[in-house]
Amino acid sequence: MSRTKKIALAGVLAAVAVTFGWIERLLPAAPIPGIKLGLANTAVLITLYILGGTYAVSVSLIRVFVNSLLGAGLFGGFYALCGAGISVCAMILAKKTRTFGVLGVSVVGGVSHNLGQIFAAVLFTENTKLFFYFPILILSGIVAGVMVGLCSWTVISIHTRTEMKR
Amino acid sequence: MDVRLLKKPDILLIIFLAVCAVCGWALPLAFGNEQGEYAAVFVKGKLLCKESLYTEKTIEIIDENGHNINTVKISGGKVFMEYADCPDKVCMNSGVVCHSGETIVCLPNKVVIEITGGTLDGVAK
Repeated sequence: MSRTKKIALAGVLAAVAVTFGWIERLLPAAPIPGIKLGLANTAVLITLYILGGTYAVSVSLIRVFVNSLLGAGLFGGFYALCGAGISVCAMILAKKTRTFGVLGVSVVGGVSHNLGQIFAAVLFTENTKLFFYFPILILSGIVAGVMVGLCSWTVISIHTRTEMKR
Repeated sequence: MDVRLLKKPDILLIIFLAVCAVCGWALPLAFGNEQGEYAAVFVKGKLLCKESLYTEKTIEIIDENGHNINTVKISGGKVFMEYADCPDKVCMNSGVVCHSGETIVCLPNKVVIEITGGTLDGVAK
């Protein structure tokens, strides 16, 4: 893939990530704070597999930045940055080990995203009792990770097949 | 490029995480899940007040500029966040809490309501 094509594709994926993030905020809030599907992570995961780690970090940062402008606010942006930053780093490392499949990398991303956010919340409120939410956030991270992994894998496998035909 | 969906380590990873979560979940439930006695309201990590759950009370949290940022309501042994000036309203959507160890958090305003009393508190100490 040429560099131009890569940059264009990264732009498209960043737009998808932003849109997914926005759609997700329109959905009704879960009864327990912090639980969500993480649809935007599909775009980041697809970027990671198709374009590599550097592009995945950029797509993730663009998503957090644009979404905070779109209404999540400065505070929401800071909070999202903690989750997204840790998540994308953890996914890059998990992929580098070559041990995990797409589903495993996605679950690592989902769980680390939630853990990053709870760490940010504990630092912010200076209340360690928030770790009470830990187990439920791990579970929600696994479920979200599996869903995101399935969606992303569909796209990634189609992409690799068409690339191979060329 | 290796794009397999599922490998053996993936399943092990998911099982490992799920076991961690279930353990972390079950332990407090085994000790706690008991009706709490007090609601402690923390603002920016500092204790603002501690009220018995068996009073009817509305606590207004006022910031440095005199704005009412959050309103906490205690009624019939339960606590909920009646009002929050933040845009996300996560704390208001957290619903009603009454078991010891449960919390309601308003992150933008750094407000934490914590239920104390009952066995969980004893274990924590």
